[in-house]
Amino acid sequence: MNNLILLFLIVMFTFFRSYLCLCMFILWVLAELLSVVVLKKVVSFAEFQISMDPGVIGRNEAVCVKLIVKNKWFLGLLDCRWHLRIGNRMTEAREHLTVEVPVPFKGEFVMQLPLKCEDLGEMYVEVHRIVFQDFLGMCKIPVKQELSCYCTVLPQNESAREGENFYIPNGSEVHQPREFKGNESNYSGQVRQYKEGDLLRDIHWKLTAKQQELMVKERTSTAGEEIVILQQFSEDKTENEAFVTSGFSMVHTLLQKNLPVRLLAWNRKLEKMEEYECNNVLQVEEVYGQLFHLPAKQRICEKHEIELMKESMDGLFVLDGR
Amino acid sequence: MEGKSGDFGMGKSKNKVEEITLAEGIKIESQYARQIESRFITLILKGCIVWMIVFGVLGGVLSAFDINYSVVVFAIVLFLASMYCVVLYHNYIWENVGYVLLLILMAIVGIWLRSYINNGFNGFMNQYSQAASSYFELKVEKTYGNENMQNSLSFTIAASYIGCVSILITNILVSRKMRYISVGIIGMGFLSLPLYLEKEPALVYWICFFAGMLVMVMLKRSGHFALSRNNNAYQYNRRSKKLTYRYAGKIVAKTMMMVFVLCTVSLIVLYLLLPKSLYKEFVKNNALKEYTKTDVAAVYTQGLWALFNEYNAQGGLSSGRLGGISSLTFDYETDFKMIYVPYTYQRVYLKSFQSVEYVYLGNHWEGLKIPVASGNITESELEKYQDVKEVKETFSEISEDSLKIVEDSMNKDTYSGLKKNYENGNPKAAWGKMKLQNETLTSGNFKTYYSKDGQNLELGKNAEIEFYPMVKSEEQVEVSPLKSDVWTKVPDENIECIAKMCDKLHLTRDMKHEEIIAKMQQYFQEEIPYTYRPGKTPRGEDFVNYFLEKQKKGFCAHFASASTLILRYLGIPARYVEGYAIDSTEVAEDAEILSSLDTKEYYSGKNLIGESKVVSYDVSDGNAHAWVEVYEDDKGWIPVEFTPSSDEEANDSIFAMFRKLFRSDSSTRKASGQTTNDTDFSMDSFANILRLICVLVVIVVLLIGFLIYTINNHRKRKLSRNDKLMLSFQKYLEKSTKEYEHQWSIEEALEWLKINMEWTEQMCKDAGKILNQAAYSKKEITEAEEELLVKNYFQRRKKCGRL
Repeated sequence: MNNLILLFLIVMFTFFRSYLCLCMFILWVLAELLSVVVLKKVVSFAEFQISMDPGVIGRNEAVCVKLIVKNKWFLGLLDCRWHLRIGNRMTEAREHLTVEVPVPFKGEFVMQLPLKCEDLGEMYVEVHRIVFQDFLGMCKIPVKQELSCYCTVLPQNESAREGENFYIPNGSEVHQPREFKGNESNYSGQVRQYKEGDLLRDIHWKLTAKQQELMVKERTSTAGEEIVILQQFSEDKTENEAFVTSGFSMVHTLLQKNLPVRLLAWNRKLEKMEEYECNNVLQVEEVYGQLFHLPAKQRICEKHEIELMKESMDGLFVLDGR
Repeated sequence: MEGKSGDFGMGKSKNKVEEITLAEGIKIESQYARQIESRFITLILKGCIVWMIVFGVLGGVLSAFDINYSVVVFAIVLFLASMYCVVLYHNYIWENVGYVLLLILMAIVGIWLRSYINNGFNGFMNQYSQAASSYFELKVEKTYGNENMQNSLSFTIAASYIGCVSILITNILVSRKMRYISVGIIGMGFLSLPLYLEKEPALVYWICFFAGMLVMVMLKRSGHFALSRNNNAYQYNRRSKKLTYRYAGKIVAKTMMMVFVLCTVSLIVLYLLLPKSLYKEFVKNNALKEYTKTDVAAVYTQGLWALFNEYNAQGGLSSGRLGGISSLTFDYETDFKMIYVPYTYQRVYLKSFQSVEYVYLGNHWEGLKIPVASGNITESELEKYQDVKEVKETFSEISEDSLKIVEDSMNKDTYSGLKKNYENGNPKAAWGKMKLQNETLTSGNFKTYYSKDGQNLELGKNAEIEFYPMVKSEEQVEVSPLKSDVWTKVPDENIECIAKMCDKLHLTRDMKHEEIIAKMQQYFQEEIPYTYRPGKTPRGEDFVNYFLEKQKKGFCAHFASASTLILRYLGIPARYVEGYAIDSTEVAEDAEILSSLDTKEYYSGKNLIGESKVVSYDVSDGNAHAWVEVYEDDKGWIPVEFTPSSDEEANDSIFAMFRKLFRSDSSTRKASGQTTNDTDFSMDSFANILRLICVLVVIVVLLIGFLIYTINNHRKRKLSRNDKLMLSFQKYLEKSTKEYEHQWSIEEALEWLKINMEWTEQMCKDAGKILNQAAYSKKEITEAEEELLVKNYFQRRKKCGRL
């Protein structure tokens, strides 16, 4: 379009041979030059930040994403496009969004993007590219950026913290911690080679099949110290949310009763059971933040593994509704 | 939410909070999005842009034509108007009410100050006309209104009023969509008026216009211009998933300042480096502009029709131009009044245009362009007509004194002879006087036959012509023979066609003039019908050749042009003439008898119709006519009529039908030269009424269709996604089978589809789930679900087609 305008001005000048048409033509060329120069300068002087506040929110609560452009040069631009990726790591929802904001004339421009997350998980905003456009829209300069921020979306805190009724799916019940049977131990998450005397139920069959040699899961003793809960996940969103809500509520309730909790979660990628200690509410939020960092399907523990664990740990509470 | 892009936040209802889903489970919440920088700042900035553009354009045009008006008042009025217009967009109610108030106010002011506005506008047009006439070197200068009334106050008021209207229009283009292309084209269009005439607008206006346009381009490109009605800071485009911050008022303000400073400084620097005076020394007019000059001059004088090889087809005279008219229409308004004593049953002619040479390429008759009555013809003026070689030769033979009547020198003998006859008391001779009172004609030069000079008839003025009518065509006078053979010249391109025509009519050079004329008149009457709507001559075709060989129908200009060339080919001096022809029958029917005037003052001598009184006849464009003059050695130039009579009615078009329907006077006037009988109701008019009804029916049907379509669309847009899906499902079923009954449940329908349309089990399962949700659940189905059914499943057709 700019070329068309330039052509139009040239035609006007050629046709009319007017002095002011000549001025207009020269002015337009100057404007184009200036536009490009300002663009280059601003790009080199600009700084970006992204932040999300607060870091932990309840479901359906709002979080404010701030996109900050700082320009140290005395001229600015009317348009700079942030190419964002917005999503939820646990539910694997992801979308692209372009945000257009101006670059101020020497100063800071803060754009507040108010987001609300309806699903549990880790909501994140990533900036992967920022494109600057000159005043006349002739050229664009893309700048690669690796900025990101995230926040954890937990089930509504109020009810959990107050220890009100929590939901346990499919009729599971919460009992006082029972005395553990057997060797009163739990899996530590470590896997080692089979040694003589190891229990058959400790064999990690999946890994054994992969590595073509017997591998066993190492146990750590938790008897009498804490309650071990296996937080199970599901590919079905509703079910998954129910698991997480019940787990979260249960942990809170137990903590209120001064019963420390050890939370277990399967990491399919590393093929190991991760262990998290939950001694206070803040720690719980942190732990769930870490749990949500992986997609739910990466944390689904196979049925036979759950059975194996149940056999080895009589007091293991599996939060999967089974 | 409106359309694909929209605002989020408060909708029309203040209690309804709208949200935008960015990703599954992630939304932008409106209550936090309502962060407003300042709506007023953005509105005022837009007002400044509107003001800069309108002030730049109108001020530039006015300054170029040196109009004497108060710039300060003009600027202030425009500024206030632009601020008012942009502030209308502050809220929805004010936007609607404000525009109505503004229009009412403008109407009141327009009525109240109409005389000032008219005078100011006319004054500007006169200045423009003067500049254009001078630039195009035209002899005719259009004048508008009364010049005495045009003063600075009128100019200021008119400019301010027109400026306010312009602001109103520009504001619509700027505030909502920032349509810089439209604004730029309109603005440059106006500025082209002075630029073409080599009039430069003042620098300050140029800066305003350019800076305004530049800021518009910048804002449009950045997208930070559109304001919502609900004060939301962001605009979201669903399709491109783009969120734009639009209250960048402060940054835009700084950008505007930057642009303005840049423009001003650059122009001043340029002005110092390359002053206008120095520039003018280098620059010359270009060939391209020279090439268009004739056409632009034609547009200036004749209007836009000139671009389409057409000229004003509103009856009247065309000064020898041919071929551009497709059909003739008449307004029948009085051009001028003719006061005289009727003295003959024959037609009375008032000549206005006399041709010399038929120009093949331009399809026109070239006149001498020397006012017949004017004696002030200089050598330099004659130089312009040197391309007419034969006439130039004639000029060279005679003295300057006789130049003024050189073109009509042959008439001088006739006039003198007839005058002598009258003065000697010849019983066949007579003297007459004719008064012409101009009513609506811009200007013109008229003379009747056997008068000495023509008379210039200007608007609002009278002319008086003295003549010695040749009451009988047999009357002889001594006239000198023609010196030049210009009157017998036929262009090479026409010779073949004319020769064929002469062969066809068995016309030869050795035949008597009367015999030739009679044969031609008979041929035209019998073979070539007269029509008001012959269709225009195609571009590149010769007017006469096309008329004689292909068109074979036409009006007076066709017959007169062709006849002139045929006569010339046969060696008879002839020329094409235009003017007004007044029939005695029309005078008898329509003329007003002026009993108060003494007949003797207007006529004496032999009168062919006996005793008659002074009459006043209203001459209109219906009397305009073209005919042929033939030179007879014993009479001089005599008029000869070749146009056949016709029953066709003028203005018999669809538009004329409308006029007829609403006209109380059912009588229809005929164009001059035609002796026809009025018909109350002909088959033609009946067919026209039928055509009119058909057109109206088609228009009404189209309108109804459009309305139904719009209403349906509107309703559909209002429906929820669930409802839309159910409607689509119903339509799909209706299309698929005649068996479909509205009582079918979803399951029944799916069962039918499974059996008859080869839907798979999985398809039925998926569709059942989605359709049940759409039908019974309050939860809306997703876009993907809708797409799955509408775009994939409902497109399924059984190979055998409809059952």
